[in-house]
Amino acid sequence: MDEKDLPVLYRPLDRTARIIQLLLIVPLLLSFVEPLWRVSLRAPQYPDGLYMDIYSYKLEGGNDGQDINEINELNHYIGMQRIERDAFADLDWIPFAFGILALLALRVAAIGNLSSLIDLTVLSLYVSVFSMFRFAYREYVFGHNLDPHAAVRIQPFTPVILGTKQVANFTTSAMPQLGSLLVGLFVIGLMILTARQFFAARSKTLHA
Amino acid sequence: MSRTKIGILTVAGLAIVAMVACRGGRQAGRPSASVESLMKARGLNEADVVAALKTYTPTGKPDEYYMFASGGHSGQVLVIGVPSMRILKYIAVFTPEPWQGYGFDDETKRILADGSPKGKALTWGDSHHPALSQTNGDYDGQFLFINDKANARVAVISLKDFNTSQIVRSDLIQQDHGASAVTPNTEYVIESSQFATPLGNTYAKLDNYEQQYRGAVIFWSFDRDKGRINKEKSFAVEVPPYSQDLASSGKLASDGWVFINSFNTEEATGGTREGKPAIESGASQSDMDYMHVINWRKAAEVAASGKAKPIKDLRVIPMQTAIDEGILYFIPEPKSPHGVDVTPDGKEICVSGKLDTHETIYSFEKIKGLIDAKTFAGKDRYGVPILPFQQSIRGQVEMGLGPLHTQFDGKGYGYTTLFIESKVARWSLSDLKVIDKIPVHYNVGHLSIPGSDTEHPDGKYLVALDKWSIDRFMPVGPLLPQNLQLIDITGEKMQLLYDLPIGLGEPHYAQMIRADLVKPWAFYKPVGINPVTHDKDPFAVTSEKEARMERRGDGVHVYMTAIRSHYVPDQIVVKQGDTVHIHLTNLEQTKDATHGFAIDSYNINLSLEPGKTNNVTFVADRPGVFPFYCTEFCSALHLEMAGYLLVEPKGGTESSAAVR
Repeated sequence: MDEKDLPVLYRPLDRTARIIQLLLIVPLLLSFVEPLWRVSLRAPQYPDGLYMDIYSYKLEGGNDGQDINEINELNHYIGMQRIERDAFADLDWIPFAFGILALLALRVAAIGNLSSLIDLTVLSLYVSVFSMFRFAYREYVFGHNLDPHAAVRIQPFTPVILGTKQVANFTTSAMPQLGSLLVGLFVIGLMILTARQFFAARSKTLHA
Repeated sequence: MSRTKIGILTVAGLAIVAMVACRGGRQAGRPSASVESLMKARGLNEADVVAALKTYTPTGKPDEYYMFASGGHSGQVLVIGVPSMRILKYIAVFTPEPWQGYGFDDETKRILADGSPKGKALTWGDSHHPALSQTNGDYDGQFLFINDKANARVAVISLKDFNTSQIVRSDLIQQDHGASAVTPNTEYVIESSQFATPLGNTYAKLDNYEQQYRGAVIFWSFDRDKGRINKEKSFAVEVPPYSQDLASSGKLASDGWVFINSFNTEEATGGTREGKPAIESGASQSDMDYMHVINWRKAAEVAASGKAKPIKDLRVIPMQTAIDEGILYFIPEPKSPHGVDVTPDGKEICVSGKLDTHETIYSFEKIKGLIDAKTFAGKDRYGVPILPFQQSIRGQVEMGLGPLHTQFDGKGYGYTTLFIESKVARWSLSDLKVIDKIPVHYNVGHLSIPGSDTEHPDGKYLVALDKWSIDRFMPVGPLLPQNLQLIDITGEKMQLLYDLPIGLGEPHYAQMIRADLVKPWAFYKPVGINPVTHDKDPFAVTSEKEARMERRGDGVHVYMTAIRSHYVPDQIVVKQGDTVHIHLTNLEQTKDATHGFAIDSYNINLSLEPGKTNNVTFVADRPGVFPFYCTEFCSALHLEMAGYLLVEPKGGTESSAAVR
């Protein structure tokens, strides 16, 4: 990094950037009340389908929660561990991580400079990608940790993470939901803001 | 419907069918079959195609109406979708029914026992007249009532789960043709005796018929909140031994009154070997019988005031009290009447004289005027005041041969079955003239139009309940099915649409209700519901962790769960002579995930719909090994949904493995 750029990193953010920064906290907080991901199953016997919504802190089955029971009922034939809140330890820390990001964002908006904005952006990206990775890993564990005494023995598999996959008579699909879009809005917003600030500041410095 | 309309409909229909046929043909790579050639090949005419288009209901498409038809000798109720005429359920009512586990678990055994005379378990019924519950004179879709003519029983069916929840029977009467009918807010379910007997069934010689034999009209008090008939609040009115029939409740103008036919004012009792006429001719001697006009609101007040006297298990208003209090009046009605039906506006009462060619239309306004002015033509032999016939009627409809029952479409028409003619007549309520007749096949008894006995009939379809089918179906030996015929009554001419054979019993009467008025449960929710009380069963367990076995003072209690595809516990070991109480809960909350539970050779067979708890008690009196299994094909591993009941012999030498 060029030496003369350094002061830019430590210069306080301008007024517009602070306001945008403050506004970006709203979608992040709203993501608590919206599901992040939906896993759904469809089969001839289930004309209305079954689905499970994953929130940042809880699981919610369709049909007043009954769909998760039904999914578990079906999964017990292949010896899959029961899907329940306790089996998703990640949902214990994700809300805290999101909360910390919100607090840091508030701090950046109040007293931040480009440097702290970059830190926040990188941290937010890391939390989102890491959560996604954990979700994929959790799915892998569910599909590979099958009871050897189950009635139906199948090849270990990774349930669908994104997109659609046929498992026996079920068309399963997993798709991001509004919650993920809200988190995405926060992260992408931060990235654009960072880029804008960085290039604006640099061009200013270069022309100074 | 006009000829042009039928033509247009047919052409439209043919076009659709042709399109489908062409597409289908192309897909299958076969030459396209035109509708005409299909019609030719199957020998169908245009009317047949129209009838098919009006009734054919593709897969997944629900019907417009529920029809509840009595199941006759089966003692059941049939649930039929209209216009497809697909049979949806046989509701078990008066007889044990294996598929529904009815009469096998403790609760439904108790329902059947409550409705049985003391010391006699009844294993058949003759279900006759269904009646849907009403609120403000219209169907509310909550309950259905039906009677067993043979044993004078009345049942309550909940339309939440389409299951019988109660059967009542009084020792007062022996037999009831005249049930069920309800008052406009289902305050009472009305049941009348047909054959007169000494009330309470004490012994009396037939020679003493006039002195000691009586009929009774029972008003069963219905508690809507509990969904049960309250016997203590119910009462009866003593009436002469004239063979009373099905009641029709007054509404609007005639609210508070009921109208009941009688057909044996001759008091015939048979005795052909002693030179007396058979009942059939003895009861048909007089030109007039008596319609009973009963002020039920007044009767309820009189019963509440303590003027009713208990006979066996019911309070009865004596005949003389009914006369003195202005509860009971007679009006002559033409020969051997069968049906009495109040018009939707409550202003008129239509009576069919079985052996008379007329339908007589009585005016309630005139009847009320005569009663208020005490204008009587005389009294019958028991002192009941008789209103003058000519002054009570608005007129008569020249109907045809053997008029039996009448229904209304709410558009100004009455529809009356003509048993002897094998026809249904449509007639105008305004000018009392028959305007159309349609042949039915054959010997039609009752007929049904949705909401006919309410303030707002919904006259789109009519179903004729034919007693004979003769040549309508493939032969199945000498016992022929009954025939339910669906008729479209929206057009200028009635059109026969469909024949539904019933090979189960003789459906007497049916009621139809718009499908959206009935809101049944998909399953019992939450887990552990008792199907009779619709409350949480005290013995329910709601998870496999709670499943257990306990030996208590009254025997071994097994708290058991069922879910695809296993029971917990799946091994039960008891000692010979143990009383075993199984409390089985289906943990499922998925539509149609019903499990069964049958124990080999112990005559135990339960049906556990999702969320239901059933209790069954039996004495393990025979030692041995008795597998139990799920009788519903619940899942791919249904055959594996099983377990063992072991009954250790008395005095066995091995160390006991039985429940401690």
